Amino acid sequence: MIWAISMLIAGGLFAGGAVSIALERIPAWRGADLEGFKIAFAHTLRRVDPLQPALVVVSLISTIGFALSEEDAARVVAALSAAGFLIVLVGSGALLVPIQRRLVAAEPDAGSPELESLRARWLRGHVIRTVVGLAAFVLAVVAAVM
Amino acid sequence: MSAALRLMTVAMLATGGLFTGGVVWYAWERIWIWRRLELSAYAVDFRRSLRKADPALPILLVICATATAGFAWQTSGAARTLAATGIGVLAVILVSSIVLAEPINNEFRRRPEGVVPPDAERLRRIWRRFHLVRTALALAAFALLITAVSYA
Repeated sequence: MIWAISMLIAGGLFAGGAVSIALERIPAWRGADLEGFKIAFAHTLRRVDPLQPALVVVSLISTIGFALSEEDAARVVAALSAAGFLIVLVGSGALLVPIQRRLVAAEPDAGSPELESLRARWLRGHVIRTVVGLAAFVLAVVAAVM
Repeated sequence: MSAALRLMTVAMLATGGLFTGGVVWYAWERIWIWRRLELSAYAVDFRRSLRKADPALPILLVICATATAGFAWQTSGAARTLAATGIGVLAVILVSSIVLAEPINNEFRRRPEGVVPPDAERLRRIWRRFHLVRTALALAAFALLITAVSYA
């Protein structure tokens, strides 16, 4: 029971946060000039960076715990959900975090085409992360209801 | 659990989680940043933010409350009581958002971008406090829904 509760709360908060960034921040960042984007992006990272990874880790551990405590279809669906959260965690760490660091550390006179490309890659990566995180959360809900 | 109840439960928890996550994100990220912005920058950012979030969050809330009503209809005992309490909390969020937050949102929405409404500092403070209360209520409602499922 405890695994289900923590999986649903952490998964819901993570997915809701990721969707909000995709819906609210991405259009604003896409339309901003590069300097304005860098400042706003750094502010958001400062707030979101400790929370979102922590929620993914709790979601991952909880779905694994839930899968191990269940049988049959619920176990399979929870395992798929855990795989989704794992993809989000590894993908964020391996692909998005290095882009974030380069974006925030870039000098003001850094080449615009390079920064534009980094911004486009991060925004695209976040949309993919949101879709995978959302799918993983819905799978966690389905597993809990089985 | 019947197939219909299962469907209602999935809809209730999925939309409830997304709604709560979205509201918490605003409380954790946007409010913190808005508090530090100059009023002119705040007016622009808040107005743009309303355009995106305004339809999404209330829609999620209404779907969640509707699915919770379906869940309560098909359950009994503690599950029904907890779900009904959850609907009550969601209703409080919806009604208070319309009564308290919407007039503030409109103050920013109906003006051209960059125009700061009179008394904007007070509006920002009231909106921030209201949103923090709404966030606590959303977390409580989601916890009630999860607990209701455990009794179903």
